[in-house]
Amino acid sequence: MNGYPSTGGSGDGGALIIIGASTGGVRVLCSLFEQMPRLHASVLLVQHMPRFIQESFVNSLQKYTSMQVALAKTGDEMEAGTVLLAPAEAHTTLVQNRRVQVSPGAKVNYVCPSIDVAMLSVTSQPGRRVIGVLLTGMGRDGADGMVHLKRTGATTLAQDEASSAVFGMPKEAWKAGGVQQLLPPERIAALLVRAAGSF
Amino acid sequence: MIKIVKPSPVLVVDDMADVHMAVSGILRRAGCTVTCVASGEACLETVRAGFRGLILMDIEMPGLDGWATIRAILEQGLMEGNLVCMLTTRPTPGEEAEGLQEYVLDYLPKPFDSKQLLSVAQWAADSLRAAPGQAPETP
Repeated sequence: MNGYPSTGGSGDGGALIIIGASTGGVRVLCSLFEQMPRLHASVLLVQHMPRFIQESFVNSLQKYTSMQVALAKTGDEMEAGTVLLAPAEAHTTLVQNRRVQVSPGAKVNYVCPSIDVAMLSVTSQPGRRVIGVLLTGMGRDGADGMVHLKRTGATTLAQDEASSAVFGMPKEAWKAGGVQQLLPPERIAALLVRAAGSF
Repeated sequence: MIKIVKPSPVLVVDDMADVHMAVSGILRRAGCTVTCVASGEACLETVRAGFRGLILMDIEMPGLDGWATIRAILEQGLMEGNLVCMLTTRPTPGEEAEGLQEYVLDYLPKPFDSKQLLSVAQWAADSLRAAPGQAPETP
């Protein structure tokens, strides 16, 4: 499938996957994770949502995946086989692609957490596969982040128009030149499995 | 017939009576308690009166449109306990939706796919049931 190697991770965190999603994302995320085994990757998930359902979303998503799903907090390490959800009303960034930092901050692109803020914190790391994924959503959050990830050598995938509830975010990222491939969720899942490998 | 497991209440906000009939028919057969109102103003009154659950919101309505209604719900501090899904003929949200990304969880086009509608209703029910102190369950 497009020449991706069958394993992508190096170091004990495996590959690093950052997924951004907004309107329509919760349904897609459940479907996406249901189609994948326990990836040899650490996943940071930024889904725009109100605070009062974030914990129930963690529990809902856990039903669809054998990866360990949790709400991100400062000091967490990105470990292979885990999915960390950026909490509402704060920005989540990565320090050296590995340690989580959750910080209060003003809205960026009208949202907090911002996908851009999370993606822009990722740095180039030789020998480690980094994959950025941008799913359905309103607005343009994630566009700058995907451009940044692509420049650092990451693989960048976005949800295609036909399968998106709202094509706004993927379209903006595509227009900005930050997307290598526009794909439906089932093909994104297949590529993630192939790129990251599984346990 | 698909049944929603432990459904949450649903509020349909649309100025078209045929949409009320179609949406409420599907959701009631699936076990949901459904309230239909014809305007953003009526939606606000219903939420002020205590409605908490899934709000299926049209965009283009006389008076307050869907986006203005959501902003009014937010400004009045009534969003907690409610999840919003747009149900609209408009293929893309447009600039008026800026700033509402965190509150509009899904966007379904009309004519809608009943499986997608039920999927949203089930997801909302699961999320609201699990959220602490949120929407009461209907049997």
